[in-house]
Amino acid sequence: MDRPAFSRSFIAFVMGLLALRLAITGKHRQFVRAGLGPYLIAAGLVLCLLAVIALLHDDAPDLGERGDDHNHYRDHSANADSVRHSVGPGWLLLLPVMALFLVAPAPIGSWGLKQVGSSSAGRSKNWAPLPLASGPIPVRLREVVGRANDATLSLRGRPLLLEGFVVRPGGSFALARYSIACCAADAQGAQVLVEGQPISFASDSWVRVIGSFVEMRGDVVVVRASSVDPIPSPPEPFE
Amino acid sequence: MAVAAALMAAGLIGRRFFAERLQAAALAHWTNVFIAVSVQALPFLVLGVVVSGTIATFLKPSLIRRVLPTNLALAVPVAALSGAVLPGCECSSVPVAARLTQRGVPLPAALAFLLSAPAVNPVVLVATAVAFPHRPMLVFARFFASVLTASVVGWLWMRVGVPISAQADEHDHRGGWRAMVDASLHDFVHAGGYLVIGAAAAATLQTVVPRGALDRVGSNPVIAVFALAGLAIVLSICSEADAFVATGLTQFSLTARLVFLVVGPMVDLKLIALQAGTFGRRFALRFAPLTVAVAIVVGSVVGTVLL
Repeated sequence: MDRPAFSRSFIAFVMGLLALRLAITGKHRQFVRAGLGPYLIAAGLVLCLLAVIALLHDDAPDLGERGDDHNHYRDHSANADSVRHSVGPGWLLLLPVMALFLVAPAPIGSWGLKQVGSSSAGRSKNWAPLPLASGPIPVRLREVVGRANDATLSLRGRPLLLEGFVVRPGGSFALARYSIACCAADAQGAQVLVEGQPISFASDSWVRVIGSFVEMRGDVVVVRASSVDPIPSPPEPFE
Repeated sequence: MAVAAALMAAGLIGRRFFAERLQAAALAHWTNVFIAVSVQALPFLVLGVVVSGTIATFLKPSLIRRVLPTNLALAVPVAALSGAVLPGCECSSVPVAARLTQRGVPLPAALAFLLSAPAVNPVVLVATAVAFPHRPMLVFARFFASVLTASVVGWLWMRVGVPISAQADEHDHRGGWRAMVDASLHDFVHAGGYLVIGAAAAATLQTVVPRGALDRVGSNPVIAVFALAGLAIVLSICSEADAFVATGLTQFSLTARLVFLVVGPMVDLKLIALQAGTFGRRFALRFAPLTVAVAIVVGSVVGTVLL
């Protein structure tokens, strides 16, 4: 096997292992939607299989093995070699792998909110009532923001259970979380201002807020908290 | 191996260098988006190179000649419509289109296929219908505008096209499944490298340019169209998910969002890098602006008439 062919198999194998590892550990949920997991496993298996076949069944035509074919091969290799045989930017495929294991970034957090913007309360639409429950009702932050302008006032008087990371806009305390359609590149933020509890958490730490919707202040949703507790950062940072 | 080691060393040094000078949070954001775009594209790229490897090995040029009309002006829309059979997103279609030209499909027809396939296949159309449950007309408009844009670009390319750079010519005498493995691996590593360049560009723009700047221009219908075309190019998200992003862009008109859905699968940062790597830089410099212009015009007209 010539060197570029070996390099290609090596790169494909590493990328296959990366896909498998991300999907099996569930780590992919920091970057892409959870549902992509099975596809990553399939892609990882295919890549590893291709690489292993290429490495094990190395029957590339050796010089001198084939008479006529040999000359033909040589003729083409003279001008096509540089294209056919260079891996070139293919090595860049290892950059995401290195970024993942060397930088090991925390999930996108409060810094990114000003980059991607937060979803604002949409025009009033008729939401279904929140489910009946004895305790606080878990609701996604994005839904809280969506329901805040709700014509049916579905949030009024209901105790809510909200989870997200802490943002400190101008010293106040807001709770935020991203939602994604496909991957972190299309993340959209949702945030609510939290009042009624002393602020004791740093930006980007994860907390669970129990409280209820108070009012819209401009286009900011305000929630009055009865409790704020730290929680470990969830394996799936998006909602 | 030496290159890998050098890259790894450069990464380590670079990390220390940049971490001290950039906001750590900005770097983390960049890294997240960079990894996200790369990982998100991986399954579709793998699907694409398996199909492209199969085409390179098993698709007989004689079959293409029998299926595709000999009249090129007719072959272009036929190729655009046949994009409906590749259930992937845009990362799949570039290596597939490259192998199709190699097997004898005329370049304008292959390009029409390249442009339409990521937007008009059933998976993407169903995703669009799910994202816009009350707007069935939008699904049709997306299909129609994408096929039309792909065909128009194909026809224009017959007049203003530039030749593509020399393709890697696999004179592989082994044939059969072993050659298919080699072709797939070749296409994966080749396209993947350029994909990573595109992912880095998308991550950089997302870290530097605040997306909120868009919110202010939504009220002007003309500027909105251009703003969302620009957003589609910068975001570089997969065509199977872009409809879900478009539903959230409620401050923009439906026509502007249709343009977003037509431009996104055809031109974005990772695709420009992918096309430059596959067909040559000179090709990409002409192909990408031409496609954006046609997509904006066709999307606006179709949107105004149908939506």
